[in-house]
Amino acid sequence: MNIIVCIKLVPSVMNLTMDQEYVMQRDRVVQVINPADEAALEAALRLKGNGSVTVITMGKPSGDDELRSLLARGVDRAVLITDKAFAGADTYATARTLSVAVNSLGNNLEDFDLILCGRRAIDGETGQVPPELAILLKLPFVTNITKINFNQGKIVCSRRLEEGIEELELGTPAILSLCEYSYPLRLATILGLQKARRMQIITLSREMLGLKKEECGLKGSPTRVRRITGQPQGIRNVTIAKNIDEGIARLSELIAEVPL
Amino acid sequence: MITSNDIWVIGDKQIKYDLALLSKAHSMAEVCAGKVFAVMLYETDPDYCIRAGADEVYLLQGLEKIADDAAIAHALASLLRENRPGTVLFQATVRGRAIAPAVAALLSTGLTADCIDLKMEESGLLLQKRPALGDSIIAEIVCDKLRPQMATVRPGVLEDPTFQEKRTGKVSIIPIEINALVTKTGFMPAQSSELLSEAKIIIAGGVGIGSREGFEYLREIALQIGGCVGASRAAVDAGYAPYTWQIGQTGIAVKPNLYIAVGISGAVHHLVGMNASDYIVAINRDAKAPILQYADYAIVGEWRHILEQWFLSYQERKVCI
Repeated sequence: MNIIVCIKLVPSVMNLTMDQEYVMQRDRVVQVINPADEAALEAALRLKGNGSVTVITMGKPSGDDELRSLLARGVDRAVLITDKAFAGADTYATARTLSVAVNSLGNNLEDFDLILCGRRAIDGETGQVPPELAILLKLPFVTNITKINFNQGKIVCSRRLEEGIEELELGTPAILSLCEYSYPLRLATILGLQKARRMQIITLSREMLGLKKEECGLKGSPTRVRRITGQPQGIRNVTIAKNIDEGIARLSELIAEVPL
Repeated sequence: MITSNDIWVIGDKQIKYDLALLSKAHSMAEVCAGKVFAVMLYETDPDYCIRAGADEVYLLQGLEKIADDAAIAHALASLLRENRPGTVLFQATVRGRAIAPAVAALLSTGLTADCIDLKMEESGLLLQKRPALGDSIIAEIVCDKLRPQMATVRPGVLEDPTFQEKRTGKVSIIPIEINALVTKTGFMPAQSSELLSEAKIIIAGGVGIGSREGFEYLREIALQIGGCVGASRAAVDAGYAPYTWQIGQTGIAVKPNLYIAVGISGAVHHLVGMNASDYIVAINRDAKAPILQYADYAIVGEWRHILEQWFLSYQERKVCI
């Protein structure tokens, strides 16, 4: 089975800054692979069989090391989509760029059986790219998956909803988004590390993808951040217990006051 | 047909939240002189929708058992192309957050995820507020060049619906034919998450709890006092508690009478899920933890010691009664 995995490198710490246009300044922070994307990657490595796993990421040009660490884990091909014109992309602009990149990788979509993604990134937390990408590529999709199997050519998967777990079935090709921790990512092997050092990372720019400037990044994004404010409202006038005994007595009162 | 300032609310399964969203849409529609349309994906009494604020109700038939979000999105997108409302709102449930982006992509327009507040300008421009960067900031997002402008809204963050008894409205039944590529073969209901949304007392733990065993202890205490146990995302991420216990932006939003935050530092994505609680108690060993600012009462100290001492006194009192 041939599988594409879309991943995002996210800041490992939350000390991000933004410029006046509210574009994240990603230069100064350490990047890690988004947790849910690690699950998608591991699921792909387990499902690929005699096929291949291609990783695609859109981000700054320095994503090389992180991608190489994935090649060392058994990924067959790593593609870095990078261009200044992509900065500030919202989910729609991101999905559009990814869809063009996916199409550029194979002669047609039949070359791929599955596209796996994480269900959301820990920085933006929208989870919107997988469904948007699916629509742009005209593929069926399922989000929030905790388990994937194959049964007689069909994808059989479990999807986590608020009210319970749904069991679903669909054909290929399709786009699936996975929940974090559903498949813990394997470690790299020494052999893998050696092999990865010799492998090429494919880099794609806006021009190589044939995208116009106004189709990408901030310019190609329908949504725009107009203002950023600090902490949300809800600051209360806290009373701090003088000592633990007083605190315990108050806690008992409070619990007794709740009508059950 | 040109785009109107009408607001469409796509209702998906949880009537309580759908009605709250309709009331919100109604007050926003008054600002921009639009109408409110309730588009219900499930069978429901349209009178409630009208009384909560809908001017028209579309009951879509034939979708109840459909698990193919792309197919549902196609059906909604063709309705939206015919009617061209200025604004489309969804619930930020797992399903809403799958269907809405698919609709947005079909209409080549913008979508803001998981809003915690919305404000309509006279011009019909929607200001969409959402927490971002996991911490510390609220982004105000607009979709100023394209229509419809779309948002998913976090269930539970809006005020309860207001009902106007004498409101009237039009109801249309729209049968939808779906060729589903995704089929549902089974369903296992969840255990504790529903209880959490209805609980009157919640004891929620954070990373400060330190272990699974610690969470078992919290759960035991919660059960004893007729409450429910919850967890912060950090605690779930650390593997101390299951996802179904998660309270906050990416978990469940709660509104209990009493919320006891134990060993929770108070990241914004947690606060948005619980700061509607009537009364908040923070138990934390760090007197400078952000959660204290958002609490009504705080006890500074080791959580285990505090809860054990309290529990002893609780049991003694129970014996006396």
